[in-house]
Amino acid sequence: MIKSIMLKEWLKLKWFLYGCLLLNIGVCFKILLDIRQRLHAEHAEMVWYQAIHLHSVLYQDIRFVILATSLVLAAAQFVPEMLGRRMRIALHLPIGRNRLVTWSMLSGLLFFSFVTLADWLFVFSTIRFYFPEEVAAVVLPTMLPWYLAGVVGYCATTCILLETTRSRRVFLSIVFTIVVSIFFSGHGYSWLVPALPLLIVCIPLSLLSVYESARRFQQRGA
Amino acid sequence: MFQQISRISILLLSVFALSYGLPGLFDKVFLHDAGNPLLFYSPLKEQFIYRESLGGHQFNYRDESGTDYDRAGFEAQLPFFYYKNLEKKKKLPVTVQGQFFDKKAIKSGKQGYEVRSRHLAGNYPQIALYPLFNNNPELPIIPFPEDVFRFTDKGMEFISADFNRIDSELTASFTAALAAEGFSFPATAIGGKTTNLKPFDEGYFVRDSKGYIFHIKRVLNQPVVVKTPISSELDVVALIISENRRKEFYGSILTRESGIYLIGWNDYRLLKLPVENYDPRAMDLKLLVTPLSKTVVIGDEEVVRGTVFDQEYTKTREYTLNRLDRTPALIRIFRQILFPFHISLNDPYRGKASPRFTFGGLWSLLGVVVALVTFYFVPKRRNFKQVGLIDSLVVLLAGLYGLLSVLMIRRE
Repeated sequence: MIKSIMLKEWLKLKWFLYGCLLLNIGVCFKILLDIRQRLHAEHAEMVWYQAIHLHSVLYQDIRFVILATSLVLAAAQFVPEMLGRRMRIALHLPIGRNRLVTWSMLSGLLFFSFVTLADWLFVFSTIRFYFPEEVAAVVLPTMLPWYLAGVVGYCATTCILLETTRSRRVFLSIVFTIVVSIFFSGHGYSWLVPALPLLIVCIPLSLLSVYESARRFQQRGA
Repeated sequence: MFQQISRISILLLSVFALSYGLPGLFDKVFLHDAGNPLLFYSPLKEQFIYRESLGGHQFNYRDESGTDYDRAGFEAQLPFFYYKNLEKKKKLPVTVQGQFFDKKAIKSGKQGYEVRSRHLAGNYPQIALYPLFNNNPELPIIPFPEDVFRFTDKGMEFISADFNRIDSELTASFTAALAAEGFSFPATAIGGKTTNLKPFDEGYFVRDSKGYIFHIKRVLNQPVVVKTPISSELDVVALIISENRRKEFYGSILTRESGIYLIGWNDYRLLKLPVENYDPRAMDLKLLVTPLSKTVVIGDEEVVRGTVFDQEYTKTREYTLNRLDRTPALIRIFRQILFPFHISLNDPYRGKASPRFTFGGLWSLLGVVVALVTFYFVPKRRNFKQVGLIDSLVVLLAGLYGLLSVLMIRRE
């Protein structure tokens, strides 16, 4: 049954996944070309100075693309299920509602993580090629909050789509928007790192929130 | 049980988000941020004089005895800072405390030196790669070097920016020069001005692993290393270097327990600044030097303190200015009632996220009571048996945030 759920999610998501991957790699490639052009147009040492001492994050173009990817994948997974309330069929499968939600989310988040990993590898390689290892080492702590924002964004989209009442949708939109905005706060590299032990708590809370919306969806007529 | 956990998760997430977002929004709308007051010592009045913002480009100009000034009057009391006004009015040279000062004397006797807490090592994320400027007496400007350096366990490494590769020649020559002076790798603190927007370059002051401080410069691409006589026992927090034409000191050493020391020019003799209650990790410091006196201004979120010294750094006068909070008392009370606590990430004395959990205040207790009463008596909740223990706890602990959360994410 789990295999079937994963296959179903794959069939639903594969074209969106290809599209998102293409977009992400495209933006990463643009980042590479921008850096290359800057290094040719200005003196390399000045670009290094900007990246090291002025805290310019030369790869920040990717941050909202990561968030958009998570929103698109969640929407691609759950919008078709909401149209004509198709999800009620899945909820009648001989598998518990929570397990169904878990495996659906797991597949979506797996695809999202795969795209983000590709982004990180591309950006890390670009920065490592043009800059010293210390500059490349901060790529991960700088990009990690953007990935976490994507996970929260994914949960938010799922929750809001599964919700049955408008007031709750509006309220959850406000709550999740604030949480996502926290992950984008600050400026420069590694700014948010000291707060990550606190902010990481938002991830299990966001993931668990989806089950309440799924329960309400089922009990309100699925 | 699992559904209970799921609902509690939304409630906690919601309380967290609201306690971050709502006070921030409230402050943006209702609070008046007065900014940092400017505190100076007036050699004409022989007392402190300050400018504080009232918002909307309105300012208070006042001295410590309470006399108000207009802008021109304020600037006239500070001839060493606003000497260009005097120059335009052809009132230079000026007589201050019986001495004549022309433009040249004022310019050469003036210096501003600042230590900002958010720029100290550990208070912001900093990649430990630095440009070492090449001093060439024949050039009128300081060209930016085509490499950066780092300290490793084995030496001082230079990396060429053009090729992103280690420059073996420079690395070998600087490492050998440091080793010859007895430098013990790696470095434990590095201080230097990383910009070429300065009158000249004095390189870096670097503390080695045994605590000794070395002065490192690059002259015509060759290393110039001096092992300074500064004690290795100092518990150094940071080395703040700032080149100035007065050439009185290179900069300062901030220590954990024993305050701030100026590093004397040429002889590296340390001079302790007699400033009390200065915490470099949570305060900014300004040293304003004029031809007649030196003023140290330190400030935190509550007060700004000024101390005046004579030319030998003997304290002559002190003044404490409380920061002006223009927010009406009613608004402040209302904020406390609404928000029992506030989660924030920004700290004016940190250049990185600094999670802070701030309690609202005594009035917040009233806010919690109002939230609880509202929660118990909103329509459909008059039957107390229907009110869950968890929801009550959420409202009790989180006041308005909890109330909004449990009302929007109702128990079913």
